[in-house]
Amino acid sequence: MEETRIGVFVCKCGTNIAGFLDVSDIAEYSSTLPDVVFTKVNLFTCSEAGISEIKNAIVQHNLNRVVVSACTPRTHEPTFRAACQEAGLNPFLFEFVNIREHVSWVHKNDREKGTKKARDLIRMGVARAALLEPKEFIEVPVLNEAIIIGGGVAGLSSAVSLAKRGFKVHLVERSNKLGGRLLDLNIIQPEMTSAKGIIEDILHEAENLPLINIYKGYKPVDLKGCIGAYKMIVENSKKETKEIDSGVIILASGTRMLDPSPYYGYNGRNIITQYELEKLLSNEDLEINNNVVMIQCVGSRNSENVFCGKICCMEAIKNSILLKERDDRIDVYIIYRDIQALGHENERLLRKAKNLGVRFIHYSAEKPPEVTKDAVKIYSDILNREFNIPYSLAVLATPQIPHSDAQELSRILKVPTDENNFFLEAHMKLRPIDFATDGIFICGSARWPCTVNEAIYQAEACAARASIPLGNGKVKVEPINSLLDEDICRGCGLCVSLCPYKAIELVNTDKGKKAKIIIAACKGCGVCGSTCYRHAITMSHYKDEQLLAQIEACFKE
Amino acid sequence: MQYATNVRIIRVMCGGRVDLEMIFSAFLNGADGVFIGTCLKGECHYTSGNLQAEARIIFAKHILKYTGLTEKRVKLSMMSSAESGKFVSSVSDFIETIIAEGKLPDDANTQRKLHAAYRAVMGEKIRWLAGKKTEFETDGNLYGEKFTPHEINRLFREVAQDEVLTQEIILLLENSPLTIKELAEITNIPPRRAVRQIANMLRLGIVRQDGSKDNAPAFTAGNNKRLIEVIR
Ligand code: SF4
Ligand code: SF4
Ligand code: SF4
Repeated sequence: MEETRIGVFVCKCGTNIAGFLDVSDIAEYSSTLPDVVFTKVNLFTCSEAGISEIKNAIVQHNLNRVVVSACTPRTHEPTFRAACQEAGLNPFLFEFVNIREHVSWVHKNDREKGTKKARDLIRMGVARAALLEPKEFIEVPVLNEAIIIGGGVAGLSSAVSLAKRGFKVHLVERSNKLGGRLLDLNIIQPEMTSAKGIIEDILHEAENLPLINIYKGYKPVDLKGCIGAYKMIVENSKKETKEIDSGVIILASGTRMLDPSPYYGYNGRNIITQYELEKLLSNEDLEINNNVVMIQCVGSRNSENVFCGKICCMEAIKNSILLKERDDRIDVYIIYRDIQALGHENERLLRKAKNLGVRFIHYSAEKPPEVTKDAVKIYSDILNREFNIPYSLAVLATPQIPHSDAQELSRILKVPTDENNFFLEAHMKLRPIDFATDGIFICGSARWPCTVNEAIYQAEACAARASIPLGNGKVKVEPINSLLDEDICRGCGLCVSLCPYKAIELVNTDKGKKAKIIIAACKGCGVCGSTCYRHAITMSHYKDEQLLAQIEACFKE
Repeated sequence: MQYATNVRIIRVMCGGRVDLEMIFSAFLNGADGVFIGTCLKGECHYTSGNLQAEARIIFAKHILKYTGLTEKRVKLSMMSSAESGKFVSSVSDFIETIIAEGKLPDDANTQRKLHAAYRAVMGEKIRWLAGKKTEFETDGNLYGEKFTPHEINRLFREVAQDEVLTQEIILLLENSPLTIKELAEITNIPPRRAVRQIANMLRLGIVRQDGSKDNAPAFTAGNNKRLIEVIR
């Protein structure tokens, strides 16, 4: 067997690491670890200079394992893997030890103990590195068609965008009408364009693109497969089903409006929601006598719906402007807890509303307004006095909330939701429109309440992102997957029922029933390996031996 | 965002990858506590790996208790990857708990019990049941009987005790033949329990009688191939 030759690179990250830890001590210690033949301190390992130091060392010192102790694999693993590959070393023989997020940043006041922790983590990483095995990325073919769930502005925008790129799109809409919420809206801020105009344009385009197949009245009931080869079953109210194949899926299922009836005496006549006000305002001859009182954060930011509705503040401000512009004599009050007016355009609208004479009164959650038959009683905690405002129209800003079947959809697609039942992206900042599951993307309000503009940006982003695998016709997936020892397996089926991705099936072999891993579907979570009572499964790149070696090394100073 | 330097972090893909073997291997190697961080319920990156981790931790806790260590030495904490504050406070609480509990005792008794625990979690029964928990709760067992969390807890406790005791007896008997009285004394269980345990083990062929001491039958480890074949 080839001798194990490990190179350890200790990054200073400028002062991010070196400012809090004794980097030269760490490097010196690393050079004493088993199989370590080369050690180097870098000022910035991820810089050009750092990368070429890694590449040179691999060649000059004949390294067959590389350990970088620096920051998080989340951002830099691809960089270092690529460096290894370019120097002829298999990228899976690279191991990342995090001494920044896990050490220097969180132990700023204890240089000595922090340094010791870094030494321990590197020793553990080196032990694991010695047992790493070369792996190849797995390539799977991708069917160049997309399923889009939801025929609102987000879903339609993605559909149009993908179809224009030449990909076939299957657009699944649960209702019998495309267009979604925009059909009910009036004017969209900040550009103050007509909602109908926007949606009609997109609808017209979508309906005239032959690559778009539309399934109205259908919703997903089952999904099998994985990126490249999804198979979705959709069903309508008559329980008729259809099977659709696709390479990727875009989820744009939107939201519903919170039922306003428990709040402030809602009656749908003179106590209505902002959403209903939209419809009223699109009617030119609407008569409003005087005093419109808008109440914000109705049914949101409370114990039931802890989240902020996000768009309701701007909707109220926009509608207050429209009211004022229609008839200056109308007095408009906005009773708010906080104002969500992000960005200069929204700030401009807020100022405009104030200049037009819209009055803003702050209230605190402890002292919400009271709506009586003809007046809204409100205590302003800023002015420390109570107001009694007569109204002819009270408007409640109720939030959009997730569909009641969001959980069901989450289960079918195997994508997570957050504690509010909105769908949860893979990473808030680094992968905002991806799910952790490859090949499924998310846009629009199903992810979080968003404006029409945001929904369109996100939809375009999803289409662009989805185009990568669709265009390439194949994807590389990380070879972190389960490995089965068929001789040990007894075919009990436990792993089959626990695999969250349906990546294991039972097959009949000449040795009886056995589990079989569908590599392309396996996400490498490890549930099967850590459950199998026969220890028939381990995980590639996270093998039992590799993890146990790390545990053992932890205590072997 | 600062916390004490006591933890050493091992990256796995998902809480569901944390095998009971790893937890007890950590204790055997000298860890004073094991902390497992997973996603929130219903928010698992891998959909449901956290629930599997949770099932295993129930076992780990019962086993620790039975071995005379406190169940506090293992902790599972669910948090979202955006909740760094929660991570810090949860880990800090854990570190404080462990410091209060003190170092893991390294007397022969504890070590033997931990060894028995390690073997028990490598065995089929505990692993099988841990894997079946979610199914027992939602679909029920073979006969469609659903288990309440309370019932699961009781079942897991009994099985944990039984399995660790079985392995502990085997460990002892692999060294030298012992009588029931001696076994009860060493393992610190009531003699009645020891009698029942040995009777069961005799029936399963895990132990066999091997002469006698002071007029009482002595036992030795039987052919345990099946029981320990999966043990590394
Ligand atoms: S590799 Fe990471 S730790 Fe090093 S300089 Fe780059 S960002 Fe900083
Ligand atoms: S749990 Fe283990 S023994 Fe059972 S089918 Fe899966 S691999 Fe085979
Ligand atoms: S590691 Fe196992 S349980 Fe997890 S996705 Fe792969 S096959 Fe399924």
